[in-house]
Amino acid sequence: MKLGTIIFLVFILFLTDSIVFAQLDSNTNILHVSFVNNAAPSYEIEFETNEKILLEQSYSWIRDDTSRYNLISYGIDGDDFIPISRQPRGTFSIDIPADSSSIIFSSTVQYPVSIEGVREYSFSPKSPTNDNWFDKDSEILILDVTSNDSGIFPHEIVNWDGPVIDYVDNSAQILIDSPIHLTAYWATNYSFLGFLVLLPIVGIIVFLIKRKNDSNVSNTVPKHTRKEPKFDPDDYEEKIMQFLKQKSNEKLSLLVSSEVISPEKSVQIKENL
Amino acid sequence: MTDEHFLDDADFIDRIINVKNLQENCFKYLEDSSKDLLTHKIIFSIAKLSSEKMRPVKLAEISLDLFDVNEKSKQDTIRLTIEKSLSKCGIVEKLRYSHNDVKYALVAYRFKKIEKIDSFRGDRSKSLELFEIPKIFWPVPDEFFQLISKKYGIGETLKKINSDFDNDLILRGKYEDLTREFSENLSQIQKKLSTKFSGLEELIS
Repeated sequence: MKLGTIIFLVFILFLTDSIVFAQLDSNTNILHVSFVNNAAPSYEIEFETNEKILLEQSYSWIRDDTSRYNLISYGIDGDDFIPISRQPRGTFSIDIPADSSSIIFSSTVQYPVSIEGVREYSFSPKSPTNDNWFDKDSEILILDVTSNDSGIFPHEIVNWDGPVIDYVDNSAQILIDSPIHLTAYWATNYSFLGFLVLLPIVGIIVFLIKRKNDSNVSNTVPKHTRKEPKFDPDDYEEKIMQFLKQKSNEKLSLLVSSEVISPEKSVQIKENL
Repeated sequence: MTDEHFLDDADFIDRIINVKNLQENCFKYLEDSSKDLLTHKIIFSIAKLSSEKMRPVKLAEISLDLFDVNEKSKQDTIRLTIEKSLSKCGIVEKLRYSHNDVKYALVAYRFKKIEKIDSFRGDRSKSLELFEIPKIFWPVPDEFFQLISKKYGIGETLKKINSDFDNDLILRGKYEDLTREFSENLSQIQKKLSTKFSGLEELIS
């Protein structure tokens, strides 16, 4: 490090962990740091020429109570934007050439997606930040959704509570235009049992009909539901108490299924939980 | 007769935790091969009724459970079977609360079959196998199940709160309040489990 070099703590953004460090030498120069769409306030760094600047910028920072900005690219002195490897958290660092006068960061708005009443699921496409946050206006498929309940008969989703655009079988489509909170409601599908019983009868009927006419097959149109987004941080405590009750009940059900307590006893205990 | 004269929860828990050694000739009453014998039926009836009522049981109650009737002759048969076999073996204990109030309880809920070995160094015993009365018939107070259910629920809830905080779904203040509250609850539950129900959680959870 050269004589007279000073390390500056330049900027703290929105009380978050966005921090910039610069190394300066004797002749003063200015670097303008700005953000596309004013995602964060612009600022300037005074530094000395012929010295490298190490600039640090948070990968994500708060936009409001329910969304965040996530860094996607940067451009130096009006050149083309250079994409960065996107991360959910942490700090992006870049060495700025000494003769640079400006850098502009581009970011996108992200909202979180959370799902209740399911054991496993996957997103398609995956989150660009490899977590449960998605870019605004992206359309996401929730796939391979499985139920918390296990049993001989398969479970299928009968309804979703939340802003689902469309759902078919155990998958759903959502548009990321706000924080998304979904709850899946399940029912046991006994149709397999009915199928086994009805198979021979249906076979005979189809055979008879085929002999006379072609049959018409009606298609089921997937049910379209669209509800207003549901996300209220004030409800969090109530939701967490419901979650606690649900998990405690799950433990009781486990004790019943492993024959530690009788179903009658579990009902009695549940009432006093 | 009031409840204070019955075995208390701690006494029942001791009976669940302690393992009773039985000679082969007594252990046979528990085995599946004896399921049609009255001795075997009485053991399971006492276990089932004690678990339901959370107290020792009367002859009349056993008779009603086994024969659907409460006749004196049936009660005498049960009483003699207990006295001649099950009490002698140390499987069933007769508890006399007053002249007219006699009840029965299992001495233990887990039994070890042992074999006595005669040797020049003195009698020794060799453990062979363990029999456990099905847990559904253990006289465990509801409070225990409430505690272990809540313990599990709180553990999962704390995980969710941490995950929600990591995902910026809650503010730090709320996160800290909730984690403190739930951690304190969890600690109280754990304390109660390890004092009042010591040893039971390992057998049941």
